[in-house]
Amino acid sequence: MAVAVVALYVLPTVTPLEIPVLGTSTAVGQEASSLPAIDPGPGGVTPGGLWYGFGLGWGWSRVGCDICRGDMVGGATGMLRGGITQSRALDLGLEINGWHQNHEGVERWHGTFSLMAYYYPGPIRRLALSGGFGMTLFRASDTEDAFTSTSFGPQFGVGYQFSVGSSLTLAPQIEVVAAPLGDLQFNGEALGSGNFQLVKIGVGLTWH
Amino acid sequence: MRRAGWIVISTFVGLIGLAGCGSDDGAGDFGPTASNGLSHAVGRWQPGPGDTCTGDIHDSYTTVGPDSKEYPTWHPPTDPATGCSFGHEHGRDPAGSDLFGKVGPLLFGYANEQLDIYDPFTARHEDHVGHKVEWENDVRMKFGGAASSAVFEIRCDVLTKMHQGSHSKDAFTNNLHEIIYHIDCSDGTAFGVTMLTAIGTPGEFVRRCDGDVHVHAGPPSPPNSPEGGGKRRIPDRSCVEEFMLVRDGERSNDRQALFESWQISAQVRTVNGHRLASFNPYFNVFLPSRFYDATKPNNTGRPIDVCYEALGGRQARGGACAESTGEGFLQNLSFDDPRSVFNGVRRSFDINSNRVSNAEGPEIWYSDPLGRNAQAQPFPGSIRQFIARKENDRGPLNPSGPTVGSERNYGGPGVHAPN
Repeated sequence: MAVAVVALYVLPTVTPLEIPVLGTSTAVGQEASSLPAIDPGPGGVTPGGLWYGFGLGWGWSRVGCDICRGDMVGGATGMLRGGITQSRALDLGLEINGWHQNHEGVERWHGTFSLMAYYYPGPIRRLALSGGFGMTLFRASDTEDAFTSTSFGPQFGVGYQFSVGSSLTLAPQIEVVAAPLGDLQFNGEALGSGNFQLVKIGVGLTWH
Repeated sequence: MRRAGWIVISTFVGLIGLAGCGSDDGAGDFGPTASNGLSHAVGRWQPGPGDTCTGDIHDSYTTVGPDSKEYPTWHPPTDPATGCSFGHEHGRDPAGSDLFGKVGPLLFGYANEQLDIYDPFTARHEDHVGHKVEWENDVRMKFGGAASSAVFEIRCDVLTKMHQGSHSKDAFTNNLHEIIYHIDCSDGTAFGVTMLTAIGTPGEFVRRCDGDVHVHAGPPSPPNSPEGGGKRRIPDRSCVEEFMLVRDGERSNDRQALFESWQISAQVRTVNGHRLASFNPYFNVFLPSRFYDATKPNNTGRPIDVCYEALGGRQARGGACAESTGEGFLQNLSFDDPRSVFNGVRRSFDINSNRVSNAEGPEIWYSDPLGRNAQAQPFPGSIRQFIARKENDRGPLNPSGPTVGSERNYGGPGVHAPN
């Protein structure tokens, strides 16, 4: 459940009374000045604008199957994402999450690739809710053997954005990725089905 | 009185079992509670010198089988009611196993008894003292690699009884031995089997200290004993000379000399040969009270006698001989002296693999006493077997059970060979 680090990166420091008007050309602006002011959102976001960001944190990965231990294993996480602003309240994008642990000779990787939507319900972009769907890859290996899996499932998350510049936001977030149905393979041979979960907390930066 | 007490216990346990009847969940079928006679296995032990219990006290530890006959079952090395000593032990009290409630009291010699019915020309009756119980609850199975063990986990309860006589010449030639084996795992693998398992080639054994050497020891009993998988690794004179009788400054290696390992490959197969269940445990004895010596009567040498040997400047030094003889202080101990530690009370059990191929069921099968010809209906001399409706073949992933019991010592006051 890679709840894509849901856009928590774009968040304006402005207050509702200080919403700047951005993203209008001079030619249009003369006409636009007669139009209602457009709330550009935090960090100066405008519809159609690109955004991108990264994050770091800590997460817990779990593999479930009929003979799996099913424990939550902690490890470091990283995140990359980018997309297009649709409106003041909505961003769409692609998010990539990675989780890693190396313990007692076993190296584990848990990665997600998801198409995400980030929704900002407030008048300014503080609280961020995200949801999406994507692919999860899992691998656990030692010097001789490797368990791998590919699965698909939803991601959800929540975060809160703080502006740290005119186009930069900082956001703590929590995300959950669930992949309820995946295959499990041992050294390339099918072993059966499994399910995968990733829960992560972290902080991210986003540029708009 | 004691016999009545055990019959009451059997009755109570039987009623619990009957309460579970009607469901095909593999719950123990403890069968009838009233006895209509004794099996061949009852009465096969008589007290020896130093044994303070009577035969009647001993034979009160019986339970009734599905054929309404009484069978010996587990008892402690000393009778708790009188404090008398039987001089032998049967391993771990099965009542502590999480499977005991389903399985009930273990029937010593049941498979042997059914063989008399199934094949009257192939009688195989084993002594009493060789029945050994071992069990372990919640055993974590091994998967071989670090990654496998980090991701997967299967836990099993295992309860087993193996007839492993390590005091006589029997196993030199005879490869048919009774095994009772119950396992129940968290992944659904489960079965309960009672059978005579053929271990290796009849008439021979494999030298303990050199697994490539097969020692032809004589004709087997019964003479038409079938060939079996696995092997019986038993010490012989050459192992004793090489590893027990050592030069000055060296120390005897009792393990290399005497460690006995019965490595089983057992299966339950249907009439058409399909393998419903298979298991390959190893049953090990650290210090048996005999080894193969063709120069001795009955081909039976005694490790305790080797403690007093001198062979070209080599002799037993340290280890079990020192422990038994008080560093040489005690002279001329006989093999059945309770002070000799060559008595078979220290054992271990390698669980190894357990396979089930019974996805279509049923769970209850009836096989012949050698685990063959399994079918859904009973027949004369058949043994009821429980095999879970499960297929546990996981391709390259083969969980295997660890070694259990090596830290346990089943010796007790008065326990001695033959044991």
